[in-house]
Amino acid sequence: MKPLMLRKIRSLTMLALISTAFALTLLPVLSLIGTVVYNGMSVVFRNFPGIFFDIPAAPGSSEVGGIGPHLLGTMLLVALAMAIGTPISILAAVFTAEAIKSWERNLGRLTRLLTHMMIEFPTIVVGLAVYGLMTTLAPYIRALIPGFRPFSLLSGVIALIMVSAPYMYAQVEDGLKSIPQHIREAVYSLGAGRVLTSYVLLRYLKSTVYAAISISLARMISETAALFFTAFGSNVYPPLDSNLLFRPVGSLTLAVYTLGLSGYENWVELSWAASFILLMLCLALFALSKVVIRGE
Amino acid sequence: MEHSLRSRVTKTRRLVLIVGIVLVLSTVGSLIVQKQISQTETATVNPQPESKTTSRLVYITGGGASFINPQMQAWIRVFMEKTGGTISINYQSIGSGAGEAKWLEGALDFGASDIAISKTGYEKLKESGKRFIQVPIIAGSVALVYNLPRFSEAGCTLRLTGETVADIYLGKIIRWSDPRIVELQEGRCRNFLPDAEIFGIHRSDGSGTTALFTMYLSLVSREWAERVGYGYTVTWPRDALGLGEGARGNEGVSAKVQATPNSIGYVELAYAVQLKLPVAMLRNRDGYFVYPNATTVMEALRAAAKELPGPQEFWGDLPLKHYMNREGRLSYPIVGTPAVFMYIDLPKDLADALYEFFKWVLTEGQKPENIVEGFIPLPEEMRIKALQYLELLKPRG
Repeated sequence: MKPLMLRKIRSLTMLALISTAFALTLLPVLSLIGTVVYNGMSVVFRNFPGIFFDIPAAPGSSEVGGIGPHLLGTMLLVALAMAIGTPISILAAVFTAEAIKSWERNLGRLTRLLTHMMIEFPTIVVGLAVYGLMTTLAPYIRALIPGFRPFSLLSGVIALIMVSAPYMYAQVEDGLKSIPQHIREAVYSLGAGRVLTSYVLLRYLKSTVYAAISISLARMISETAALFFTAFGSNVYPPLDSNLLFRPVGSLTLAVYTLGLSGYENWVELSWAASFILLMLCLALFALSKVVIRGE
Repeated sequence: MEHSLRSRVTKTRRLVLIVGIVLVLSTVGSLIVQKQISQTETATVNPQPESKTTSRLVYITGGGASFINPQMQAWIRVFMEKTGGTISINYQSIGSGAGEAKWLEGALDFGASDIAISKTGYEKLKESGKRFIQVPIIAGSVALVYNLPRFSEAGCTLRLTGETVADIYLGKIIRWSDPRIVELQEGRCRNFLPDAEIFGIHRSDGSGTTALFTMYLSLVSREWAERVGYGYTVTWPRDALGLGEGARGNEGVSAKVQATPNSIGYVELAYAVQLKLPVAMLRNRDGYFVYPNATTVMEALRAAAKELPGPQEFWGDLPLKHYMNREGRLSYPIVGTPAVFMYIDLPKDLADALYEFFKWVLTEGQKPENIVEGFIPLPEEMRIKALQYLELLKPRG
């Protein structure tokens, strides 16, 4: 009788402790989502659907306007960075993990070392580095493209790739490394070449690859510091001509920052709306990645 | 085998679906933008016949002082509507220092600063031999804000002199009940000052506001000039006593003053107005106590307009030498003129667009309907000088 009581008490205490810990962990996440939804949703619906297309209203006015240029900028930045960055990082990961010859292995080791170093770089440093590179190269690039500026969509895309590609690389590479050697040998023994083998192994890993893609997508969407001196930000729509790549673009995260610090009520509200849209985008991506992974 | 083939097909299909969604979204986005641009183009039936030459789209990038950002965005909005989208202007608030640096590096078409080009920047420009102009575009002033609940409730307004403010931030005046502060107040209000320590709040980041404020203190207090000096950031003696603290940005100082009873701080006037903080009156050179507002700031700048140096001279100590502590019973002592700077020898369409925009800013833009709450337009005398300087931008022939 007595030991049973003791056990029950112990079990109950542990349960209580774990529930509290659980609640404490969940609280910040819930409060974050709650605050953003509470402050942002009403603003989004006050100017719906104009909030997605308009430019910000004049500061201090009673209207909020919209964050069209910033939304468009984020879409352009992320789409281009994904289109260029994904193949590069996946191919690099395959090269490193599937290296056979000794020079391949050495190059792979170097790649891994440098990439892991890049993960540790603060993103603001990445942004500044890209800015510095672009300013140095600007006179030469301008000889080819007269309208080129260091503050541009192109710089922003490069910065985003530098920020998120190392993550994607590391995840895919780890995944490939974790595939048991006998599976690799089995593929080779069927007479497959190296390219086909890599393809088969990547397909074996598809959920890892999808997860890596969706995580780096979310990282790109929510990146701020690296964009300060690259994409630069814009409150107006860029003219959609052949120079689009070489002009500054806005981004949702930059809008949250600059509008939120402005001190004007309608701009602060707009900043909440931008945070809300940003959060919804990230949550939607998260959900999508879960669905895609489960679908496999 | 057949099963895996089918699953491969569904996988490819899924990938195609995702790529498709992304493509559709970006196409829809760009279509909307194009529609917007063409709408604005058709909406305004060429209001300025003389701007027929700029049929091509011109895109201007500028950046700098955060203080003028709200006013800039308001101007840009109206101007772009007027010109029907032939000129796009993008101004980003990256701070006065960054604005100057990035403009010098050639990343911006125009830079903007709370004061003007700094000494080091000016020397770099002279070295490179590039021709440029500086043009004041709006008036600015620094307001002293405070938090004395009982004092304010009694309907009193704090009165200060430059010397007392310097002594407060030097740590020589410790308490609100110090006779040097009390004697400045109106008789009835003297009793409402608390016998508490003054908490002195200042900017922790480099800022034009700090530069203006410390220039003024250097001007009125010899000890301040010798011990502290002026600049975008300085070492604050009051902090060493544990009675002072820094805060980031105008909004940070405002928030800290609002949250700390018995505190004092300094912010750009527009913030004080926007956040409805109590603003102190300052004694000017003629001995009158004045509030910072449109009348008193414009009065001070009117007196200074005569001495505005040429557009290519060094302006960095302009407020110190010419703007601050001016004569006139209505002059507010801490004023400045945020200015923009641009190179002269630019491609023709860019120079034309810059000229057109800033000409509009200095004429239509200075009218009350285009001025954002809390901002103050340039006085007439200053405006005319600025327009003259702007003429240098226009390519000859």
